[in-house]
Amino acid sequence: MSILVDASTRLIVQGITGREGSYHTKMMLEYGTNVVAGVTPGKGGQTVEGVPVYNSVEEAVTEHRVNAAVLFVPPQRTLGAILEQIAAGVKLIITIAEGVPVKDMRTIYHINRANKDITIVGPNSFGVISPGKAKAGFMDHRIYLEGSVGLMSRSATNSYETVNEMTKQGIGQSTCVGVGGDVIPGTSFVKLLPLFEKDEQTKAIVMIGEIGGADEEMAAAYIKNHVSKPVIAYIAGRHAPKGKVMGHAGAIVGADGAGSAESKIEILTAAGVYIADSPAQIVERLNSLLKRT
Amino acid sequence: MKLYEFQGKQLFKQYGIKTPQGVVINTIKKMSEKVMTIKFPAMVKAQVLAGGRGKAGGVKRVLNSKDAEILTTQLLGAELKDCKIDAILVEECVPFVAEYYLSITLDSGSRMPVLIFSKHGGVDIEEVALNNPDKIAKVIVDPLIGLQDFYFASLFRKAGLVEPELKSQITETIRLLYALYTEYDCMLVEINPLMRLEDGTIIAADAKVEIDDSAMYRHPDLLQWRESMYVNELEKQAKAVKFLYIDVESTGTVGVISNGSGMIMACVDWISKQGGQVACALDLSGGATAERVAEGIRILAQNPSVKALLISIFGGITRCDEIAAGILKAAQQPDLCIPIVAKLDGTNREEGMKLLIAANRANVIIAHNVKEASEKVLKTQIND
Repeated sequence: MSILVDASTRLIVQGITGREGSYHTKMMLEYGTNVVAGVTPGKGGQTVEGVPVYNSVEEAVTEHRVNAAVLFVPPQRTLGAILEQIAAGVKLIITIAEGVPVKDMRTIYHINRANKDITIVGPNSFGVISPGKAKAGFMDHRIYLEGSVGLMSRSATNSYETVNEMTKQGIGQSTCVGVGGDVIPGTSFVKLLPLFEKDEQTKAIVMIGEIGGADEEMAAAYIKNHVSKPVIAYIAGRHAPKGKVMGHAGAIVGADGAGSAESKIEILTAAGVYIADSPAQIVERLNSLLKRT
Repeated sequence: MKLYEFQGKQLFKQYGIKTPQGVVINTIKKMSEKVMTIKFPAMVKAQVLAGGRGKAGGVKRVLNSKDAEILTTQLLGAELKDCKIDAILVEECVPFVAEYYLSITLDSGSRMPVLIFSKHGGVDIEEVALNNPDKIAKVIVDPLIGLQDFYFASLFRKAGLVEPELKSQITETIRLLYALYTEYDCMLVEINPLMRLEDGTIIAADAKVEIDDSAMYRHPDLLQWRESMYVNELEKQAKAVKFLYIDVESTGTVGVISNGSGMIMACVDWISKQGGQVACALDLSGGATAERVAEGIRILAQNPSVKALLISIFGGITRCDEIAAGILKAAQQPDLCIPIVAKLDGTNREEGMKLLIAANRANVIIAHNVKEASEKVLKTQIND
């Protein structure tokens, strides 16, 4: 099993002729991902790494049975690109771009709210990978290992660090999702939890959060009532100074302490989530959990 | 990007929100001419982005132009709450009968705009929020539904606002402010106080506006403001090479360099946990070359508080051999007198480590994880 992407994924790459788009198309193909088509307006008829390019998403979708898209388009064009995917009926849209305006993601988020069968991952995300099966994104796939831990993360570097440590110790992953560090992510933890809970391959869930926003708090409420699998969380930014943006637009804490690491950790602990203080401790905990089962 | 009060008020005027008559003074050269156009008594307001400037002495009432000029001369170029004062707003005092609070921002749970209004505006709004939170009314607006009348009815019911004439005036102000919030990609628009004058006029006595940095390209009219904004010298240097420089703690002694903000936060956490403090951090983002890494090290080393550097990398697009080469390049400079602790992982880690080991430099210390790196970086300071 695994979630979102797997051997049955039929992926289109929007922005396939760009530098990043073409390079990562090659990487995704190398990993065994079924990339069926690419889209770049005005470049229809070309091929990239043997993948046919179309002028519009609609044409690509008419010619191929598509069930997922990954977007390598600049942040200024992300809103339009996601809307084009939605209009063409694509139900899983993964977006990489960093620096998408908040208002654009607000528009997407609320369209998504009214069309619940669509899943939008990102922006500001490394993508999604189900080790051994498929990947849609730019993560370095060599650090991943197929296994039973579902991982979702707001930060790319902290997730790489964790996955690397897991793989070194022989603990594999079912699916790793880059939720992204933006103020409004298309998909937050709470939307992924039911998927991991339902997925037979996933035996434990790792959640890498950070200060700011309310996504960890919402996840805690869901975990308390609906998740039976063990959840381990790491919250970065415990010691970040208050009222400072630490780089991710989302990682800012108000003077009232809402969204602080302390408040998130307290709420998650109350929901039965194990709190690790580092990627190394996540792996320690996984070792003891998975050996018992 | 946060706007100064006078800039926020310029946007308010553009949208038809009334503000007091005022002049902006950047230099004492033409000060007298400008001040002459103002009726007294007036307020002299230092333009800084820090909150609580009134209590810090940045806002004062003056009775005549002479006092206004004396105070303006004193304030201009001085520092207030760690910010240099580059501009002064001299503004007519308006006789008000009530001070309200009004703001629009994004509600992080619902990801919808939230209207916040209180009859108890003014300098003590934080206290009201803390001790009488029910005196502050909040209404979340579904952007798919739009700013409908029922939202206003709900807001005024919660706020205890009953006078029909006043309600319709506040409604009008909120509509204008909401249009500004939406069209200018604002993260926050705040008016505190929003004054009601004797004749019933509603007027914005202050303005706090913050624009989404990612959306600045849509607002070319604001770019000139961004260029004139005061920024920290190191921030400026970092920006020139597309790095993000962040001041962390004024009492910190460690500089942190990483290729992602998540990792930076993890490093800050570990250093604090071991009793140290981070002075500043630099986010290289993805794909930094040796040249640029060396440049990044040079930038952080200029911060006089920094006594040691911690470089923690997890290479995806970033290659560890490039990072290592950059570290060595910087470490060979005779003017670099602080030690560097390096933790490299990910793409080309082996090559990077080999470079560092072969160079065998006393001022480059190798660590294998973030915890060990934070211990080592703090230890270099004890030995001093």
